[in-house]
Amino acid sequence: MGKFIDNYLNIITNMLCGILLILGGYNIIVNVLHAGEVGKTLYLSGNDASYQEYTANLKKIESNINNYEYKNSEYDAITMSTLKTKISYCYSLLNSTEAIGGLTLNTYINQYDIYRINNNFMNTIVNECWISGMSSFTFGNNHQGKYFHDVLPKYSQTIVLLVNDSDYLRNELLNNSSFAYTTNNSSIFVRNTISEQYAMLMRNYEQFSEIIYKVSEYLVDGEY
Amino acid sequence: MAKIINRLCLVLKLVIILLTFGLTIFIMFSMYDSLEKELVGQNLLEFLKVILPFIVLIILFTINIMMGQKVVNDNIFFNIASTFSLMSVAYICYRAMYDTNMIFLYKTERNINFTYFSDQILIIKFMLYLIAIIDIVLIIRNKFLHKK
Repeated sequence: MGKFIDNYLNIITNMLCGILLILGGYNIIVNVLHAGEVGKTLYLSGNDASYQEYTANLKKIESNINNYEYKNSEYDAITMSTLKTKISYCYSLLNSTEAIGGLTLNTYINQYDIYRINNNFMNTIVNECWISGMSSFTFGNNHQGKYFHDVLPKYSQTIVLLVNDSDYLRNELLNNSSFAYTTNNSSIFVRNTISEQYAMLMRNYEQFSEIIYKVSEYLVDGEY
Repeated sequence: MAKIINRLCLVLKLVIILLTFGLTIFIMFSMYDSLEKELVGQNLLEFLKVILPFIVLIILFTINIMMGQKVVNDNIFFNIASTFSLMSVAYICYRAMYDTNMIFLYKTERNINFTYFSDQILIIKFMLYLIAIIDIVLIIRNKFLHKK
């Protein structure tokens, strides 16, 4: 009987040791994979289409601001001059070192860089340039005319979509401490999310600069 | 060779359990401090629930060494498995404090990723209790059955 219990306990301890080894190994593997995923970096070459489009938009906005002369038939000179000031402010925000253009080219960026620049997009660029700048000026002053009533609200709808994307990106990045970050339904292994996150961030900046560029075109030509 | 690995694991598991115990206490203290929670009542109970398996293991390992329990100390499978598990706990503590790629590290004043550590507490407790259970079963086996 004693020998039977001894053998039985031997089997139990070996089985438990096996479970412990598997659990410890699993824990190390999952953590190494997670560290690999969140530690992925991305080489910022500036050769991608979105980045080039974004820098081209910035140059065009700057050119439009510098070449502005009043010749608009829809709004008076003071309104257009205020619009120019708003566009200049948006340009300075988009061109600041906290925005995506502030990243040094030909270097590696990490997820924290994306988080930082995405926060700048949501908190500074969209809030200060569009919501408290452009929107409050155009909708708050009861301007007559088609452009401020019909065209700009459509841009606002696009910007809401950009903010939604940006919010999603921020939440995903904040969630990168979570155990579930690399063990969700779609992937258990390193999947290089940083390239997707960078693409989303770059697309937001590019589309926003495109909108500001279109507004600056209206400032110069008076056409839309 | 097996003997050397066994001795190495024996020393390593002792070093790592003391190290992780210290780090866990530090992380837990920092967490309660940053949340401005005092360590009394329910909070103290929660704190003790986390550090209890460490204390149990330290006591068991001390008994193993002081009493020279060969059935535990010479069990290479147990020593390797427990060292491996404790190394994963140490790696978790290290990442909670030094993995700068996790965004939440920047959200706390203490520069410790409490979110990540809280996620891992359950698996840490499970592994430590499992080590303790195996150790106790081995001691029982040694004490009561081998004497007969």
